[in-house]
Amino acid sequence: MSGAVWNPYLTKRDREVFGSAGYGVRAAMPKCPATLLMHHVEASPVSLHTIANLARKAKLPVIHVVTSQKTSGYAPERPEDMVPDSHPSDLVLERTAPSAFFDTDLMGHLNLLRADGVILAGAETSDAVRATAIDAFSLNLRSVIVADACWDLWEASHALTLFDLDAKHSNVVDTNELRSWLASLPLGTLDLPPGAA
Amino acid sequence: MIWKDNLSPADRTRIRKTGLTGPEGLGKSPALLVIDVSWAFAGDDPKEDIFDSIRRWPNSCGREGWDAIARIATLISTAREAGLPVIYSTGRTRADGWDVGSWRWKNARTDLAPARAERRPVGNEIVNALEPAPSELVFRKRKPSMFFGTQAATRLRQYGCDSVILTGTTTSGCVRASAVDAFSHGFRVCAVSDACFDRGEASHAIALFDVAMRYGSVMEAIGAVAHMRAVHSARLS
Repeated sequence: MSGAVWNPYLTKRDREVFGSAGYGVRAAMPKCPATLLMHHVEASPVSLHTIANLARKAKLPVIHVVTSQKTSGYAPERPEDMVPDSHPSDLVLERTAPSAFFDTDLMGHLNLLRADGVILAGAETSDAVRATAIDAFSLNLRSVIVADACWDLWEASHALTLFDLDAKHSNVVDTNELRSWLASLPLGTLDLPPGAA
Repeated sequence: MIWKDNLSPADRTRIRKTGLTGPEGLGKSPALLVIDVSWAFAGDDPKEDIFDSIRRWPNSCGREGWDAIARIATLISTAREAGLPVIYSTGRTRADGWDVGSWRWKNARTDLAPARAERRPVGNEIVNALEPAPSELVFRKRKPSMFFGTQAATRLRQYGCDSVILTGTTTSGCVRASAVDAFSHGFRVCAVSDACFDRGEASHAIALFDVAMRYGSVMEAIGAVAHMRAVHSARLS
């Protein structure tokens, strides 16, 4: 991923400082990644379909993260009730805070899947995606951000989040790079849910 | 606002047309948070340029950091006079570096040992100008947020706080991550723009923009001082 998205937003001093401070090297990719799709009412789901299909082809888990709507009664139990086009083996989590890890059982799911990192896409870049990436980092999980499958209401926030994450916390890639990386991964390294018949 | 020049033309148009702002960030019972103002992030020479400073302190934010530190000192004395809690955080790492973990993955200079390792305990000390009082809490943390792996949220609830006023460094790293976690825990969030500092100019400005749009309020030190004094007066009356 070139810095094309964020370059127009950086100052001259920014480029020099981050170069000499040693930030922004490409980290090792996760060996067993789970795919986290951050759903958002305003964001186009088209790119999330693409990412989900790439992940399924590579036999990687797809975890849909939706914002909690219900304030009383039972929350929907089945993935398809919250994400209509999800597959039976997909997982769905409801979040109430920016991070998909906050007050959810995401970490428990990742442990069951035997995942060592996450692929992140969706919206908004500077809110749910960023907060989830920071928690992944704090949990010593590797994270990969699919820049062209992320969306934000604010262009500057989108660009600077990708810059900050690529400098310190995550590998920022585009869909093409994701596709070739996933094609190189061995199949069957994660314990996926079988999905109810 | 300080982020005006860092936004895109479309962003500026959207703000002008919609007048969007974030949730109210001021509460009735705030705590002052002083995040990671250690030698490692401030450098040890207030007059030194950032490019000279980062040769010895790779995380240093240079001269602007020391301008902010002077304002943080004022905010700390105001909080103490107003009887409000002041809570500090700073980094911690084992001497053998095992727990550096994910910090090692994206930075080519994390392992510049042994000179770096020798400096590590000193680097994580809070600068003299902001020395915590014996009664004040200091959290040692390994990751960006003051709330991650610490008792910060529990202590804030025990103090009866409903809000936090954030200062320190880096604005886009540990201050922003702490703001997001404070918001998630249900505290109101206020970041003090000229009492936060960052090695990145654009990252600093947009981190404050994000806080103002999504998580709470952004104000200058002069406003935060007035707020803490008003809280104190309200309690006396």
